[in-house]
Amino acid sequence: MMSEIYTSLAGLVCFSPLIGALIAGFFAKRIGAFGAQFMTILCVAIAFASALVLFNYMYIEETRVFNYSLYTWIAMPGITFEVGFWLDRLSVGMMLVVTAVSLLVHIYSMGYMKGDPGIQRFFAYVSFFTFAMLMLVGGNNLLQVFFGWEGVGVASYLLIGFWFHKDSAANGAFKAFVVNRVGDFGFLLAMGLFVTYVGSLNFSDIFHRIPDLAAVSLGGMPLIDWICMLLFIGAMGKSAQMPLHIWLPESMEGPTPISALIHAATMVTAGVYLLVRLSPLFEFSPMIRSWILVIGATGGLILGMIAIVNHDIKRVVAYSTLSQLGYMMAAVGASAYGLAMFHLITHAFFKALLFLAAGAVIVAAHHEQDMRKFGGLIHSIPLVGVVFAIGSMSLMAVPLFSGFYSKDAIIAAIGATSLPGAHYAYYCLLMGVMVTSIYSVRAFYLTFLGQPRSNIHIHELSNTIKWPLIILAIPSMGLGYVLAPMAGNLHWFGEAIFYTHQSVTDLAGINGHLNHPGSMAMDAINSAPFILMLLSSFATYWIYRYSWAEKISKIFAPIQCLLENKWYFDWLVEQLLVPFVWIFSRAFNRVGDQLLIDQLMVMGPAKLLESFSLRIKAHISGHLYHYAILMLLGTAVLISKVVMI
Amino acid sequence: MLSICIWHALVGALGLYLVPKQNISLIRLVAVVTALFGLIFSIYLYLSYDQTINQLQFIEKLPWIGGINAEYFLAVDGISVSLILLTCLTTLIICLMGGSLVRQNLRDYLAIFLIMQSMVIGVFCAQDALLFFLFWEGSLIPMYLCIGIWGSKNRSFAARKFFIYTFLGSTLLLIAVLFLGIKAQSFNLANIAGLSLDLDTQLWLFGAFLLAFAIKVPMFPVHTWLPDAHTEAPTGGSVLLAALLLKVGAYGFVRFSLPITPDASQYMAIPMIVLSLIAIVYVGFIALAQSDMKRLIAYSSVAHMGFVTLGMFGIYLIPKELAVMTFSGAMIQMIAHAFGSGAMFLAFGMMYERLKTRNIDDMGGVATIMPYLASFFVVFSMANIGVPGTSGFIGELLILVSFLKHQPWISAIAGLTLIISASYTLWMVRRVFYGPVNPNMPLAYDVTTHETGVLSIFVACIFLLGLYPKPLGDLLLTSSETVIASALHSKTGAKS
Repeated sequence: MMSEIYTSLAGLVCFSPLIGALIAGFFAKRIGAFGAQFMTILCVAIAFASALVLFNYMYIEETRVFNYSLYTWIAMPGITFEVGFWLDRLSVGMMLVVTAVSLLVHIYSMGYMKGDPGIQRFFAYVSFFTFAMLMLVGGNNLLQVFFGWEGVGVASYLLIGFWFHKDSAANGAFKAFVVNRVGDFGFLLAMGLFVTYVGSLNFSDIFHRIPDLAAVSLGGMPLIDWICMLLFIGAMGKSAQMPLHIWLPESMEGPTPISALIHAATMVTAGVYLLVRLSPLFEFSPMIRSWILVIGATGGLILGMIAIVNHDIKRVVAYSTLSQLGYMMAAVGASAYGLAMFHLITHAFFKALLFLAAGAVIVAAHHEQDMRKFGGLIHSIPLVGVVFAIGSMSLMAVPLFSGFYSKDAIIAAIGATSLPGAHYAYYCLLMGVMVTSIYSVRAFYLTFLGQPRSNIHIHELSNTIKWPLIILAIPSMGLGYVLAPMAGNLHWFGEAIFYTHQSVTDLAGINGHLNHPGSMAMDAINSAPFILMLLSSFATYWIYRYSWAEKISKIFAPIQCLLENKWYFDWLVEQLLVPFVWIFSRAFNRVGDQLLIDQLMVMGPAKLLESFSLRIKAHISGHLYHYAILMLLGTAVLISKVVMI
Repeated sequence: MLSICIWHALVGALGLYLVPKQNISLIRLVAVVTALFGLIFSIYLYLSYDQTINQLQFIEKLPWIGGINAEYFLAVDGISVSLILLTCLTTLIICLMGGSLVRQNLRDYLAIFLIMQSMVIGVFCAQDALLFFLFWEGSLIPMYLCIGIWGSKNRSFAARKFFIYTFLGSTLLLIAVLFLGIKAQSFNLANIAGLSLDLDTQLWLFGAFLLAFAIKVPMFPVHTWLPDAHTEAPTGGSVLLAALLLKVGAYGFVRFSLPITPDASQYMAIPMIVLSLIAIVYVGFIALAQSDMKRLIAYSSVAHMGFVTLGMFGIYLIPKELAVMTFSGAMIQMIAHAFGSGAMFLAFGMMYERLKTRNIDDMGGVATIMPYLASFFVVFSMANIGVPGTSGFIGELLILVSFLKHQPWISAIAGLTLIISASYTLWMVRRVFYGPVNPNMPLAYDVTTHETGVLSIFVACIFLLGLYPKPLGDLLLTSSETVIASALHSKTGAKS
């Protein structure tokens, strides 16, 4: 009885957005813009409600794990590939976050996309994205996760390129897909290792076989390290870790609501989710976790720094997303899976809020995104200013706000872990706190405070834009406080997350704090992150208040140059890698294929024959059947030889 | 039963000539009805094929040329059945589309495709080497005519190159077949496979087979006829070439090289795999550099067929269970490739009708003027890239994962296709469909309802296969096991 309820609920959660997408896509003309919006929102609302019910079962009524297969995708000797669901606290919690943000983004998009000729297509894509993301989250085997993984990639490709007539959008979409494919390459190879060594892709089989896997080594490195490395490469693509992060800023060419949904709250966190899901594997690979820690922390610091010099309000938020993803990854590296998920959840809300608020600014300013042209907007759109401030404070980890609990806990956890590289990561992330404050205050000041720097006529905002902002502001403020005691328990996701003994001892101290969110906020006042945040915020405020920014940027000119060129990652790819590929493909085409193979090997003998036949043209006309007869004659001679043998 | 399957299309083709040339609608009707009959009949064949029995079915055996023991011997296994289904489906699509893509000599055009269907199904059913050869050659001539008559500007060169190139391979195949037939006193493939041959003889035979089949597939480095043939061929010809004729080559490997010369195949497995990997990586790079849209799709065909040969010869390097997986993957890739490349060629044909250019630089922003066609094309591109949920994914997945334990380098190199195929396909999509509208393009209308219907067939196949490939996998499984068993059975030891 219970299993039937779970089956149908999971089905409702995952497939109703798909149905909405199909209706909006196929009957676009018949149901019109409003019909498409209504249907997709209804379907996502159903998914959200079902996710709530599932949440109730998993968290309140203490069901542990529910694993079932929907159908067999393909059966091969020794292995069957299946489609099925794995419901536990982790996946259901994530489902709830995805459907909630998706629902709000759908509603917000009604206002944001108003009047766009492709509005049905937009809603169909967003709903399809939601479906793919839920398949990823709910899968009970890696193949289905991969299906969702690539599905969200396709949806992201389509949505970044939604305004396909813009060259920048077309390029951004292309770049996003191809860079993600580099990560997918790692994911696919990891699946191959599971298939050949475990004989299954199902989570339950994989988790049971981990002790066996731990004994195998491959080319001088333990097999588990290989698997974790390849999976991390996959996660690097999707969760935009260095150096595969270059696609995320370009993805801002898409409409802003999808930046909030896909490139902040859900899809980019899929990599983090995958690693948390597979924590029983990663716990046995301290070497790779060490790498994850270092790469994540480095990204958390230096990618955030780029936001300090950027002028595009959306890109500032995008670089801040890159930085926060670095925090989550670093937490995974430090075995603080629960805290990574905690930050993932709070970040989903406050970053979605920031993006939607930025989108509201953009709509109000008639699609102007350059912060140098804003200023003093707090007077014309006060509501947006307030929610942007709330989002920023949460991001900066001001005590009592959501981001404070998750972020400070992560920093503390990394300080407590004993992995190689932990000290480096700790200081990176501490400096990251400063960086976060600087760009957040700067963005807020440039946009909302000071004097208007150009005469932008401000547009009235519709209610469908305002309400999602207000709703998102609530979890951005209070969710951390509510969840902190739960996150303080190492096993707040039930059995979903596995910790080794070492990790449990490392993390014990931090979790004690989270159990008392009020006193944790009080204690923070004399902690390093808080002081750094406060100092850098005020410094930034004064710098802009008294217009010292110009002078300061002159002092730090070399660093500014480095940051404006985004640490030359894009330069490396665009000026070195891409031309390299071009030279190779052109050379292969011209020299290899056309000249050597086609002209020399194939047409060479043909030309020879032609000149020969021209010489004896009296006898041979050059018609096809003559060649055929010649060949037959030759064949006959050969056959006679063969027969004689 | 199989005779009906083979010859009904020929009858239909003859029937076309009873209709007066001017009566276009009736001509189309006859062709479509014939093709539809073929499809329904092949579905019936599929349903009555017993997947539990591990042997050839629907056997038809008649004496043919008594003196040399050649027989009219037809029978099918799961691999043949799946390819027959594919053949009938492709022909139906071409017949449905024929009228709107070809203006002149429609009757001959449709007749040629029906004849081709007969010949190709004949190839898939023949269990007699000489009969196989007959059908094999029979499929060559209609294709030659198709390119030569309805092709574009440079058609006669391309047609000749196609014909001479493939005919060259065929002559060697004929010699090998005759040699074996004389030696076995029969042309029955089972008898021939039962011959014990020493390694040297096997290697010679393998070489002859290789040239014939590798040219057809086409494998690197004998692939250069394909881009020429594709660019010049009319749309129907391109679709058929990509969807079916390339498979005939791969099918030849399954029926000849693997069971008849297993030791030579084993001996040559590594070189064959290296050639396949070159096709996947090197040809992928070449596709990136193309400026002619049809050439680009043609090169992507070569790269995808590289997976088929990789899966076939990979069986020698891994244990048997995984070998079945990789071999089934290769067979599925054959079918899936038809839906990826074939569909792209069809959609391109519709664009070509309107824009009259193949040059990518002459296009740009096509999605703005033809949004529906662009949507279809993006779906086909995703199938070509091998996104999970589409048909293109299954074969690549099964082949890639099966090597990881024993030959990880193969997976690592072949896996690059994930990046390369996405690059060349989406870079083409970006240049052709995305971006601002190229002002030099003629005004064009979007796909008609009729065209939408035909393209939707492909879309349906892509997703049906991609989301639920189990029926196809089951159909192929036992036959794959049989082929692998004979391919792994050494024949040199049994000689004495």
